[in-house]
Amino acid sequence: MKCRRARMWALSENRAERPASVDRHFAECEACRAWLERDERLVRLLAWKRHEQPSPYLETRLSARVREALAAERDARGARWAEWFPTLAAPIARFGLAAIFIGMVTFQFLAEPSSTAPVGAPAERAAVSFGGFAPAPAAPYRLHPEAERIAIAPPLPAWTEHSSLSITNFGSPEFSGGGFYRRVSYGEP
Amino acid sequence: MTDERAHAQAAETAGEDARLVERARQGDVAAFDDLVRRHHGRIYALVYHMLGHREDAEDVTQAAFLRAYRALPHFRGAAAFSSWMYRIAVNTALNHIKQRRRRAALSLDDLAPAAALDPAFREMVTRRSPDRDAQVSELQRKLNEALQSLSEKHRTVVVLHDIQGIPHDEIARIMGCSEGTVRSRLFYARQLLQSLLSEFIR
Repeated sequence: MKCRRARMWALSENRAERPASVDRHFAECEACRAWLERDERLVRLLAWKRHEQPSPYLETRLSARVREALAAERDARGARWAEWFPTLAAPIARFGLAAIFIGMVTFQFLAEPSSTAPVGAPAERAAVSFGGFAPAPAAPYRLHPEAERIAIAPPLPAWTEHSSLSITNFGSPEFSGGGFYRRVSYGEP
Repeated sequence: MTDERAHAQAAETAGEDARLVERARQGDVAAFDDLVRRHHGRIYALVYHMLGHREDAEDVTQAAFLRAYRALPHFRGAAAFSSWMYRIAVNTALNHIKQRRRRAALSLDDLAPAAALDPAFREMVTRRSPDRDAQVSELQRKLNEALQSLSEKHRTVVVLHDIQGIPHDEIARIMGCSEGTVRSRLFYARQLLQSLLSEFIR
């Protein structure tokens, strides 16, 4: 074994992992034994540096400095936020207002009775269309003025049975599905 | 028995550190303050021996603790807080050395008087010369100069192992290298130190 390798192995803390050839080398090599002795003296010399203790005020000073630095960092973070906030505030406010407006319009649109809802049907029927959310009771449905006019018109006399105008299926689902113009058929003259 | 007691003490220290780290993570500054109190001595000593300058060592120690505080959310607790803190301190000190690229001129005021009061130390220096004070000063100056003449990586290993007494496997974790690399660096550093301090170790 070469001297350099043997000396490096001599620094190993775990004696068990050291090959037996290392001990044999040290037993035979006087230069390496001298090196090892000098190394032991050097280690003792270096260990004296452990006596060098920091100033007794270091702890207080260091703690205070770290605390101050952390506080300054927090303040700086706060200041940065304060600096950025005015710049960000206007877009945030605009976005918020826009979101509220869009939300209100959407809600209004959804809350309005669907044009396909049965005329005069109860409000609960409409509620089903938007996920069970029940809107405030709406005003009773009103027929379109044209349909209203027809509905309230007095019954036609018998002689008009084959007149040019007859109304069929009034009040049927087909009628209610549309609007005022639905299912009005024009009979043959 | 002593080993068992040391292990139990280390486990207790690690447990207390873990509790403090958890509290500090949740924003408890007082808990982090406790961590600073518990570890500042060793961290400062490490940084001081790496830099060889008291004021710089204090600045770098502070910077290392601040880095640790900011990095607390990333600390997984796989290693002991002390190892993690050592790693941060070593990196902060190495960064500082790279940035400043200056070798601190050590003054004798930097040297602690405690070492000179050590009986073995006295015996060693008085054996060589009756002028003990001059010898102590000379030895301390040479010792510091020799340490500062090592490269950063070699000095870090010497400081961690020979001065701080940290085992090789722990140093390997702190420096992010293998134990073989630690041993190799230690060997070359000791070779150089032997030649620089030959007059004191003959």
